[in-house]
Amino acid sequence: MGDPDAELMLALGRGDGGAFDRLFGRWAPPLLRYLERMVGDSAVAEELVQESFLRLYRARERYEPKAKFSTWLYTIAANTARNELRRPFRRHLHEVAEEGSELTLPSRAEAVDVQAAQREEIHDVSDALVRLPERQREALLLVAEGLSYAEIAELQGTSVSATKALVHRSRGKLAQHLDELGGREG
Amino acid sequence: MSNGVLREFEADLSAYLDDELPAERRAELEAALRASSELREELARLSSAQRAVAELATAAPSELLRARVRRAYERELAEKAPGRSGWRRAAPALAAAAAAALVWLVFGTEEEDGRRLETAARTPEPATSASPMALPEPATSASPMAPSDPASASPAPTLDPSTTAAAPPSAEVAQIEREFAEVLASESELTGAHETPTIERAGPEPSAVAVADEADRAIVEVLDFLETLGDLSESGRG
Repeated sequence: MGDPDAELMLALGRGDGGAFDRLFGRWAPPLLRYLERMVGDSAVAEELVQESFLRLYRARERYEPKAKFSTWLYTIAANTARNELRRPFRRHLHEVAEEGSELTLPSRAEAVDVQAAQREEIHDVSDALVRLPERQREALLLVAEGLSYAEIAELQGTSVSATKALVHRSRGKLAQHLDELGGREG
Repeated sequence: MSNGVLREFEADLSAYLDDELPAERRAELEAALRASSELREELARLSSAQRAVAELATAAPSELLRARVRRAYERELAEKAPGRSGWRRAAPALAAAAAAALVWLVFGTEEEDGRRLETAARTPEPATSASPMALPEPATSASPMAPSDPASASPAPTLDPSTTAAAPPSAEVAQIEREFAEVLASESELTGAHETPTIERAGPEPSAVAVADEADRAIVEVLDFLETLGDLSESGRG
């Protein structure tokens, strides 16, 4: 097979508990990095890493090494991040309810975007990343994690050419934000 | 260099940085880069954005995370242990309900129908017939896969293992087996799974305990499978 991670996953499916520890040791750091950049919060990112590994464990007996292990694992992680970003903000709901107006539940992603947009200035690269639309941010961060355009296209359910355009737009927008940041500092 | 060159190649600059361009297009772009300062500037701008993401500091997984994942993993292990499944927890109650129904069917109806009293007299009365709760213990408790943690088990009826072993494998048990096999087969068809779990008999005339154990294992498999299916479908939606 040649993919040591897929071998570990198959070993886990056979009941080898040590394989789980080895997979965690190998993949927790990159997953945490990706998720932290994706949701912009290290504590939430740790929770999502935990959830991702739990999903990995639950899928152990059905795992089939069809795709690269890394693509499969980042698909799980990306799903946990998407779910988290779409989670309604309780605090926001509470505030709206107190005002007595109509109840609307913004997703976490929308709320993050709104928060970012409300700030006039970008303070650092993380700030600039958060300002990117979720799908663009996801593609750009997955490229940074070493996934190919084909793998990202598979993960996002789109074509390679669409991924290429998405990554380019995303990086262009980030460069623009960084130009603004550099302009103010300079 | 005109803006036309920039427009022609600009969309390929990110793919160039990510090493995603076909060789021929890459060669064309490199030629254009040598000739166009605007294109080089744009490439430098995108490259600095790429570097900025790569250089973002990230904390290593904390010991707390490690411990939490370990705990979650162990909890999963414990929950998946055969003696701790939801079905097993519910088994005593289900068995008691089934037993009560059987008692009613066999004795209740006979009491109502005087013509069957003679038949009832010929039927050996189970030692435990006084109450449904005293009927033979559900096979789950007597199996080698019984819960290791007594505190976690639901209150189970007190049973005499000898009566359990003597209980004949009824047609109902065989029917349940067949139904499980059908359910498993249909699940496999739905998901494209290659293997259909089968229930293998240990001998030509299995005891009720062995049959129920096998059915039990099949149920645990189905529950595991459905849970994983939920994860996978969620993954598929993404």
